[in-house]
Amino acid sequence: MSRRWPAIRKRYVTALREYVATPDETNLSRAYELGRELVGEAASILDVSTVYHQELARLLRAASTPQNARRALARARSFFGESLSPIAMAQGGFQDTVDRLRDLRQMLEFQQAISGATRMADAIASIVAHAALPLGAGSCVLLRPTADGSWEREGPPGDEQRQRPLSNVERRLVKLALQKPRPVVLDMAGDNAGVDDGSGDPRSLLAVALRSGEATLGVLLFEARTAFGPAEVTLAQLVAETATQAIRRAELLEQYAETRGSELALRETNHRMEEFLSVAGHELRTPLTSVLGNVQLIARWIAELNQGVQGLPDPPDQPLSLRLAQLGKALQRADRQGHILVQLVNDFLDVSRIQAGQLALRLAPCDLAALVRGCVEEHQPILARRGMQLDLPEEPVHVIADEGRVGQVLTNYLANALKFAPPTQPIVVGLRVEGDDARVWVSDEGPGIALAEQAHIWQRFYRVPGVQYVDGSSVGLGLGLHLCQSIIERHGGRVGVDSSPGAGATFWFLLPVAGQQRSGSEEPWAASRAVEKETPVL
Amino acid sequence: MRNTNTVLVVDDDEGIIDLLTMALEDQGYQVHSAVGSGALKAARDHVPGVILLDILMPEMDGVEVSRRLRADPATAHIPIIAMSAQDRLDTTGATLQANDRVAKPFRLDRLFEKVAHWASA
Repeated sequence: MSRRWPAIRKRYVTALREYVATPDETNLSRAYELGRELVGEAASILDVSTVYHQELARLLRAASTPQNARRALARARSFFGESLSPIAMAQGGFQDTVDRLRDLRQMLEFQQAISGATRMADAIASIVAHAALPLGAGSCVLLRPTADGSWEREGPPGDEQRQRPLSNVERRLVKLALQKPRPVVLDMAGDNAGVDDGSGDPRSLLAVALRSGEATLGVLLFEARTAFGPAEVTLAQLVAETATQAIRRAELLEQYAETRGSELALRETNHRMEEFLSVAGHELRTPLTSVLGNVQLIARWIAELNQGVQGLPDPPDQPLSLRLAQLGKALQRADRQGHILVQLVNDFLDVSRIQAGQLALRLAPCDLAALVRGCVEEHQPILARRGMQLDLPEEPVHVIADEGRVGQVLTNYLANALKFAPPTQPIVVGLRVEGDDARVWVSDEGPGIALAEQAHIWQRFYRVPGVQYVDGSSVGLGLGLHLCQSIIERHGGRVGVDSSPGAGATFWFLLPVAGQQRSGSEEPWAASRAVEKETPVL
Repeated sequence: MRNTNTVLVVDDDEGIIDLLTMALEDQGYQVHSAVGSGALKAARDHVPGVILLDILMPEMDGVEVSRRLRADPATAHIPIIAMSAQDRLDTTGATLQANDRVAKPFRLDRLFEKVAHWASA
């Protein structure tokens, strides 16, 4: 009960008494207005009823004669009988509340019915099956815009008019609904609005657009045999908003499912690629193992035989010794070429793996100086024949790296230097810490690389034209430097070459030194760890 | 007690078995060979000085063979050198119970060094 209640009650009782004394139109409408106000301020219908009973009791007590009492009762009854009396209004309020509760329950049912739909078809079927109920409409159809500018009609199950084109009236109403922000109603019932004439023909149409931002998802078209009132218009707006959300949700879920599907398909493809590369590697290397192993075994036997022949005091057959030496050389060539083939297979598989985003690095803390030293020592038999200078720091240089892969890069640089530089000129291998980076380089005194070529040498399958090989084989796929670049960049480092024609070349790479904090990295190894992710690098 | 002069070669490729048998016999070893799960019985029967074990084999792969060899007290102490023609030798190494590894194709002299080292270890 509001604070205004006692004052209104007092004025209302006065107006009531004046009406009972003089039952004219002025007093009636005054009592009526104040009665409305009283109902508006009442906490419950009981409060309003109490005012009546108290007032009626007072009138009866005040009646000095039975005639007076009868007159008072009649007037009171006539007043209470007015449909607009506070009690009637309160009863109306009850009905209103009941109606609203019913509307709310039906809206909730509608929301529940459509909220479970995860697919667009289910969402639409749910909307058209349940949207009519909250409005008390006879039917509801959803019109969806098609690519050719017409409307596709989605009706409830058994909707025989599914294929029916829109009538002129419906088309005009839909057009209007698209222009208006609120539902539009076409009332064909005229003065008999609210009365079902029993003909079965729709008497009233309501159209409301389903909008999501700038887009129109569709139009809901309701038909009823009674007129749509303001309450139905409000409900239609709510139904439209709920339906829009359901459609958008189904759309997003379908998009998500599609994206997820593509992602899973991609993962499956990558997995198959990895399997294929693994099997391909195995199948290509197994026969090579056999070929090279046998070549080496025969070479050993021939060397033994040759030694045996040489050991004889008087070689009985000079041509045999000569032939054994020739065989030994032929086998050496076969062995060398076989190893080039192994390298090509490895490069080919590595590049395929990089392209498939499958080149996984096994990162671990390591000493780059020891790694460089070990790598050079491995090539010592070859390097010993050539002038070789090492420029390494005494102390360890800590990096987070895949030792095998970084060793592969250095081996590649060394192989190139051996291939192109004259045997009389030394090759320098160096390591130096420069700020946050460790720089490793291989310098040769070879023919050098023209500036125009330098940008291309890291590309896949690129081979510098017209270069003379001084050692090894000219065979190559143009993959070596490309692999070097991919491997180093996956470590968070950089590669490069400093060269000019006739002045040799220095191939280098930079790796982040462990413990050096990179900008934006919270932990010292973050720069290296970042490259562990299995992301395509090309 | 291991027979330090004996090597067990476990591979599914006949060419590799023939090559390793010839090459190791040439080095003075007695060589036995087996495929997949056959390695388990061969290892018990011969108790070799070292086992050369291929990884990618049908039926039972090298990872499983190594696990079972290690689980059997009769063979648990025999050194294993894993051989693989795959890149992922290091990855399988996480579950592979081997003392050493050699990538295919291998250099024979390097393989002889490893076999000599582990057979007498």
